[in-house]
Amino acid sequence: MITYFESLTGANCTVGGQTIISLTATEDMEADYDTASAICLAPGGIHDRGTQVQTVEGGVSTGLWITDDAAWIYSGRKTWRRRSGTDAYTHLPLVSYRLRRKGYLQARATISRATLGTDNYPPKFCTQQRMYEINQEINARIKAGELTYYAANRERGTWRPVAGAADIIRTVCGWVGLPVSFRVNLKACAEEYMPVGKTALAVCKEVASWSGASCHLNRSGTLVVYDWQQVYGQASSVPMPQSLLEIEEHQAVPSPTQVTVVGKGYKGVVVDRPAKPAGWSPSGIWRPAQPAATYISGRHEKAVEVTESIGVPGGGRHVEERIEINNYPLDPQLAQAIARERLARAELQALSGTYQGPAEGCQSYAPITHRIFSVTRTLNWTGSAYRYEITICGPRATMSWGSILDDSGWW
Amino acid sequence: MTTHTHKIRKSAKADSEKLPDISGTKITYAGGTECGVEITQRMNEEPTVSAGSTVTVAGYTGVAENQSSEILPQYKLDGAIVWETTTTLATEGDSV
Repeated sequence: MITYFESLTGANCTVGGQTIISLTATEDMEADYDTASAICLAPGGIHDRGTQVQTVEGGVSTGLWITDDAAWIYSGRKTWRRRSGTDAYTHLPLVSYRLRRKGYLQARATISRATLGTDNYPPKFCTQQRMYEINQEINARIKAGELTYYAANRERGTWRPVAGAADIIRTVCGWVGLPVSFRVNLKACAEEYMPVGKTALAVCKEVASWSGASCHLNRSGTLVVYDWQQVYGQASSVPMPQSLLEIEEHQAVPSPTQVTVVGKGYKGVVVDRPAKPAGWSPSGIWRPAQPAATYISGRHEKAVEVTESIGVPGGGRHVEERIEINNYPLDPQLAQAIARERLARAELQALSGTYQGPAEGCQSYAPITHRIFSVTRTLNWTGSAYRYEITICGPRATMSWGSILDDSGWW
Repeated sequence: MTTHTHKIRKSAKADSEKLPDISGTKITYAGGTECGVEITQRMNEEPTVSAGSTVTVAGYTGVAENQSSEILPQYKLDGAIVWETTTTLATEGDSV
């Protein structure tokens, strides 16, 4: 929907139903939370802290927010006014808000006994494979007389086996009441993970980062887990304002230019089984003939080391960043994805552009949904009309990589 | 001393601004008002000028913002040379 300068009025520029005097909203994919500050006229009273409000700019919703700080402003100079048609002077109902994206109160909650309840605390996540090993250890201790069955069951009950990293994020978000949506498959998962004392958002970001993924709270307050490279590395253009008033395009030298990811993973061993003729087994059972076959057997620890690089401007030498991953298993494909994500961030942020212009018609532009790093919209009352501007920062380049490494036989 | 009020000039000024309203129409609001009276008097004696204090001149009371006096040797009042004094008063309230 395109809005025009003259169609912006106090009726369609509101925060929680209150007319905007000024609004600055910033949505940034690098920041934990989108933020906004607003000054409004609130004849019906101020929205209390923690209230959910919606910003509407030119009749178009620009998302849900939580009032992080709400303040009344009484000032002889600023607010002592007489409304046209009345005789009495009163204070204008001027209020100011600091807003954070909906979901902020849930995402900032720490993983503590108060949040989780005694039954869930402390949270101890493990993979199903690790749970199998823990069970074997516990059974061995029972056999050795170190544990009673009761103590063994209590020990087992403290662990939460998960099918993958997405399960951890879903569980943590469920504890704090934060909706979550996955736009990427999270491949990597630590064998054991105990997120005590961290915020829910920090946990989700950490768990997503195992697979080279990122998190962002979107306009409706849903935590979106996404593949940074898929969003920003693709060959699509950055959306622009209807007209451009200012352009600033950067060509910075990226750092690093080479990333090496090292770790270890598990790989099966390829076994060639020869053909077997039909015959009786030693225990007297008739076995039919079996053809020759190849299959993967066993779980062997293997080192993984993958290096990816981008061109160095000016013919310089590489700047390498070495990422050592010890707390979860890797496969070559995952290590390659992590290295490429790190390099894509460095390269695309070094080749970024900032574009400023009128914001009418640009209300929907947002990081992740569009190929934008950050967007800032300002809406200010000038005394006779609103001035509405947008500043968009986005990548000016695309990333192209060679073939993806084979991950068959790894887990 | 003979004194004649020669001229009175009254003024009232208010800042105004238009603000947006939830109704969609702009509303005009008046800010602070400033009211004042400028009084010119002629007298046949040299006056003392002062400012800053509350005074009553020609029936108007206010804070003397400015007071200036000038000799007019070409005029005489009751046989003495005329002095013309201009007083600017800032008054209370929204009207004067």
